Amino acid sequence: MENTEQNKTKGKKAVIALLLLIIIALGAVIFFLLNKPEEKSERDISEGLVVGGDIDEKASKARFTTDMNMIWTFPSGSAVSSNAHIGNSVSNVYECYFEVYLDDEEQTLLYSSPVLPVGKKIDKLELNQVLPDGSHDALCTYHVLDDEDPDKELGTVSFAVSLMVVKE
Amino acid sequence: MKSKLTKATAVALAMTMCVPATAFAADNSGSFDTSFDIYSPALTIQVPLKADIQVNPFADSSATDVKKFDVASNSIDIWNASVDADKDIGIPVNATVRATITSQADDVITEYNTFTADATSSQKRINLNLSTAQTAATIKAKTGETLAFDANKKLNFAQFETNAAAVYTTPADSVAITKFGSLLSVDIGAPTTSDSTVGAKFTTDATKVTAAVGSFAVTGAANANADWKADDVAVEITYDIRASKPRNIKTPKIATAPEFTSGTSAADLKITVPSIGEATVTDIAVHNDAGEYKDFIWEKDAYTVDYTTTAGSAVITIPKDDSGLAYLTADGYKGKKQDLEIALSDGRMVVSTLTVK
Repeated sequence: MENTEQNKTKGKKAVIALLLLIIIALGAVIFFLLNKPEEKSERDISEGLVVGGDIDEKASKARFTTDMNMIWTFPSGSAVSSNAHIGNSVSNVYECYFEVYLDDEEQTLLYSSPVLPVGKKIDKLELNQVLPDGSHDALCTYHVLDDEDPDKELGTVSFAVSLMVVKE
Repeated sequence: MKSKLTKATAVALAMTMCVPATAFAADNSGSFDTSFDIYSPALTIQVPLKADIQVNPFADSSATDVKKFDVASNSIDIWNASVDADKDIGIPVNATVRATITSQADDVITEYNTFTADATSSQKRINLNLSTAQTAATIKAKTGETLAFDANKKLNFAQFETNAAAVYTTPADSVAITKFGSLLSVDIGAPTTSDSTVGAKFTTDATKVTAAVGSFAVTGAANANADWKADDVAVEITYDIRASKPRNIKTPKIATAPEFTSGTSAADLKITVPSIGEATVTDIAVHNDAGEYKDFIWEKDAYTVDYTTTAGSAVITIPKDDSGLAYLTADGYKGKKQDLEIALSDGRMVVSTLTVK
């Protein structure tokens, strides 16, 4: 009798220990999922071959108009441009957003805009880091969005820009 | 091997300069502040969103458009309506186009020099170039459109369409696209106007303003009947567009493809690159996708470059006992042309062939 009671107690302890382990494991998984580092989005603006006449007609006919200047100046020590003029021209048909990458080996992302409706300009261009004084080559890549499916990109187009950080 | 274009335009300077005062008998001297800045107007440029590069099994050599090529994109027509309203002038632009082969399938052979395509071959062999149109496209107002400026007093390109297609019978310029890059410069004039309104020639009547157009395309040769797949080759194209008068930038062409004769009577290999301008040679390589080595880049201390003896040219000297040249004397390479690439510091990529005998 006493052995049976002891066995039952041991069994309960084992179950409790197992449940605790499961709870700890679940907690670890939840913590990991909530704190998973963001995957760096790959900046791929390459285009492949069109084969068998398989052309996306809508994208193929689409054109993109710039409304931007190509040389942006920044006061020394500041990430806010004093003269950047950039937006989604009223001549365009589709919404877009743009990203600015430093044209170096790492292709460092300097700025990512919100989605811009047609005709909308950026009021202030503030990079996500302060660059050292001097001239920096960068690439501004527009991502043009399909008006029928905002999760789909019709295509991308990239323009070189110069970032000039100067003492004022 | 990646070359960087050194900006030919002046580095931006924003500085204050005090002019020292000079003392005169009557002290009426003073000083003033000056500043320097870069002219960076907003540009109104329109480009196609896609460069649909297609292998064309029905290429017609007598065609005047891109259909004459075994492989070509659509004509990439750059429309320019850039205007400085304050100064009441149209703004000409220069578009420096850079293209790079960013990936290719293992069974694809990229050639950096043109070749005669074989319609019966199943070998995926391809040569891609950036080519400037002989004659740029023109544009016109769409039928039924009443031309009007947009809210920024610029032409509204949504009201326009292509009028005459660009002509590619004999491209004005052509540069090979390599995995290390390429550079094509397209000068595009300023928009013009027939309006004579003082101080507002470009911002009064949209029907009197005409945008300018520049055209280029990806063109080339390919064995069109090979079993091409969409991911066999990927090309990245970027634009560097600046307000500029014509820059007339051309990638140098080596007049006579270099040859090296190996053996006891060998002499150092000398390669002359003309029209070097202010650029310097940054890298030299050979390329052969059909060969085992694929790409061989010379170490910088394996060659010398002379910029002074021949004015305007760079003379590259590779010693006769160079190991890269020795490698190319092997069976399979000896006597056969290898693609030769010479990268310049301004982003231009000179392409020729090198034959080791």
